Amino acid sequence: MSQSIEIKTELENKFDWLKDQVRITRENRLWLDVPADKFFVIFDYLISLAGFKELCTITGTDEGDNYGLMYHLARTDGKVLNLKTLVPKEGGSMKSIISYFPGGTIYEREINDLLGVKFEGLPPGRRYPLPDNWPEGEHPLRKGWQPDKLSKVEGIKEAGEERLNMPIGIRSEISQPTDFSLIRRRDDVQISIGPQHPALKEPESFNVTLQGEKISGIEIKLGYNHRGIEKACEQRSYIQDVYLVERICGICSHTHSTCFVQAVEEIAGLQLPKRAAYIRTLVGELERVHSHLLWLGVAGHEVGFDTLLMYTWRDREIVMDILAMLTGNRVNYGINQVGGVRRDVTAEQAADILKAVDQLEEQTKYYIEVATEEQTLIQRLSGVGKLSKEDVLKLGTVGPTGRASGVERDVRRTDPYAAYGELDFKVITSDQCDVYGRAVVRLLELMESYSMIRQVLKKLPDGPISVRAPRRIPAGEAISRYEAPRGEDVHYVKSNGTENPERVKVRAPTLANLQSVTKMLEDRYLADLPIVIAAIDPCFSCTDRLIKVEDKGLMTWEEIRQYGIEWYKKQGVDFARMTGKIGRSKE
Amino acid sequence: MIAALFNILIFPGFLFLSILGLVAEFVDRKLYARLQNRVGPPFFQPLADFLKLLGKEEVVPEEADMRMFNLSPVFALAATVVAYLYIPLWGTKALFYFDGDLIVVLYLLMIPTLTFFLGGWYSRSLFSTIGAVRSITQLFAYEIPLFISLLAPAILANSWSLSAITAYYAAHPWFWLFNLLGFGVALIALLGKLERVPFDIPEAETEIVAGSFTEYSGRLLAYFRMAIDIEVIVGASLLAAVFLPFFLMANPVLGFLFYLIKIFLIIALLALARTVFARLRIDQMIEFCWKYVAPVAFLQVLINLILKGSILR
Repeated sequence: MSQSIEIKTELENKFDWLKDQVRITRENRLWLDVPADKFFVIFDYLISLAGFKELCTITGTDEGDNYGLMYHLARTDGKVLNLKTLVPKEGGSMKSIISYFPGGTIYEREINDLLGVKFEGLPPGRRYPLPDNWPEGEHPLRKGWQPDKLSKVEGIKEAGEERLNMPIGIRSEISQPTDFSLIRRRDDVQISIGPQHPALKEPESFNVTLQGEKISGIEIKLGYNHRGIEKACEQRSYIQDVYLVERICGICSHTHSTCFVQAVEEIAGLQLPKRAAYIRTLVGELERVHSHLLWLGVAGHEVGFDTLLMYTWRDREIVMDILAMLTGNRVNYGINQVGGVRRDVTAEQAADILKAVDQLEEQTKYYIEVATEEQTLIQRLSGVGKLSKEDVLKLGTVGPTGRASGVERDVRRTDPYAAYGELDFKVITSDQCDVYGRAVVRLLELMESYSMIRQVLKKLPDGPISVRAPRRIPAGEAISRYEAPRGEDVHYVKSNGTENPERVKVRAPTLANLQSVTKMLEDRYLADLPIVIAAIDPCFSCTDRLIKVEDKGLMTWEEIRQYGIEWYKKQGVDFARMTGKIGRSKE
Repeated sequence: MIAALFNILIFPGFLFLSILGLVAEFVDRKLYARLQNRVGPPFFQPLADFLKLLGKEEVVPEEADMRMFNLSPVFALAATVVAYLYIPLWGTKALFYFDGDLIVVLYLLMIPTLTFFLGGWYSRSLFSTIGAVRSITQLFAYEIPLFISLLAPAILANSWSLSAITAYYAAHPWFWLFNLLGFGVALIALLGKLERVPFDIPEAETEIVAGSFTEYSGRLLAYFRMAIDIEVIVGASLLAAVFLPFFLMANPVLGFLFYLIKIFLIIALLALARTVFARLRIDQMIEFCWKYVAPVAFLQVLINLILKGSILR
């Protein structure tokens, strides 16, 4: 707390008009509202003199006549200062911060697309995250906006009839990738990796310009996975949101639900029972193990080393079984609730986990051996996808990707949550700055995870696993950080005293990391592209969260629900009857 | 006439080679799977795949050159089958032979790669084009070492005919041990020729989908795959004839058995390489072939020349 107060006094000494403006909600969390005309004075000071060199994300909110823009700035010691300013809706605009943080481009684009805030100095480029055929002037995150405001077909027709049946995200201005005349006329070719491509596990598009085998340009198009989760969260209660947020991603589902409930608990002032914190940590580390093993297999596959894929995914089943045993599910564990966890860990389960961890550790040692000795693998990985320490800091790269460039940035250490403050672990870094370094960091992190799981099971305190949480969360706001397997995950939750949150903002680690891909691929070969993309361990479904457009137009939630029920009825599955049956059999 | 037809269609022509090729594919896939801790396919899987492809719809890209697109797989298939006729299998004599057939076989074996290039290039798809260019780039890297490594035993045997070479080594048992370096070079070159990991760069799935074959489907793809299966057999037979010239039997049953053991040993070595290596990049592959493989092949020629000039005089 003392350090936060120090920052506060320093700010007040420097700028006397800030007297009693800085709020400290808890250790490591400072909040400050400044008027738009004085914003950059403070912003500049915070970055250059107060050491807030990381930009977690920017949250845009709709506040009546104004837009709220909140810049979440972080320091290496875990302090987060949330600097907020208001921009009037009528004719207002904000100066872009990309001269400070080049990595902030994508956050500004997102706010521009979803809220309609104009940013001066934002370079022209592809919109993110809405599809290209989304009509102008429709900003779904505005409070008054309803999904049904867009009429089903006409809404898209507005943008042009010819785009109606066009696949989402493909602009007509871009020449067809199969246009052979391009090759004859020019010596560079453009190929599109994605949205459907064997190298990608999720639909995302990379337009690559090639000169021979060399990459001379790359354009990333995101947004194929938008499902409207941020908007949907505002329309649902906190209890429902926990499960909704969990479905942002299939791999790091625990990440998102933990991050969300942490924020809600902070606003509600709930004291998380110790045992619950430990169980959350346990599931979180098991999730990291399964995610890193999955990554290792995918990386092997990307460089044509399928044997590694088969071996690691076989071993990944061990941890998946453990997760299923603990929580009842292989993914989307559903173990979190506001105020604690839903299932306890029994002594027998603990014994099983320890046995599995021993087995996994044995295997991981073998993989470390393979990674450090297999020559073709090393040749394909080392020196590829270079990203210097300076670029990491500038672009805001997080997680193992940043740590492999020698940046010791790990939320578990700097801003401990759950039980991490009481565990003994190392933050793994590497100075390789390339894909090989990223692989080594992940492999060694696996070993750290095993040790942490053992510590958790050893120290697991007795006591309740949850406290009673109110349905209505008092008004307030909180920002929560979580070290996902891919990097820092950030959730911002703002409540208004009702059952539903006012605003939920998610910044998944992949969004922060993706911007470094372009940098990593400078002057590299086409053959390096899959592994370089894979090396940030991308999770596009995390990155994309918003609106879904089908050929038929837009469906409201009720329609989607009805559509789902009808669809299953046609398959012979009637949920209404089924729930009845389950109820009866229980009796 | 009937004998010729029999040779072309039944034995050792299309039918025999197709069956052997499918068996080889099965052995390769099963071994690969077992080495990766998987169950692997049942024995009839390659045949089932082939028949399935025959029954599938053929889609030819609008921009593709119809003639080249359709002819390439047929040429690939024909060239590999013809090459087989000149390779001695379990005796010292091939079905056909003349002085210089070694060169003819090597050129015939180059045709499949050229058809991969032409088929890919005339598909007009970008992935195919890149794959095609990679095919031909790779050809220049492994073809020279392969030629030289096969010429070395020929120098010792003083003949350009495969049958004569085999006969020479049959007459001088243990001389094949001189050519072990060349055998290694030829195996590596064969990996490149068959576009197998670590040299499967022309069809690197995660980069360019399926390379030259991206646009191929149905019957044409089936022919291409059959041609590759047969190429495996022909390549393995060629290496067996030149580098493993022992247990050549007058008795066809025993001889055939040993022949099978030899070629499946080579196929197993190829499968093993597929299991333990990652795919190289094209620049790394070319560097590897020219920096290490080609010099070793030349060393083999040098060894054989010295041997011929001194001890074996």
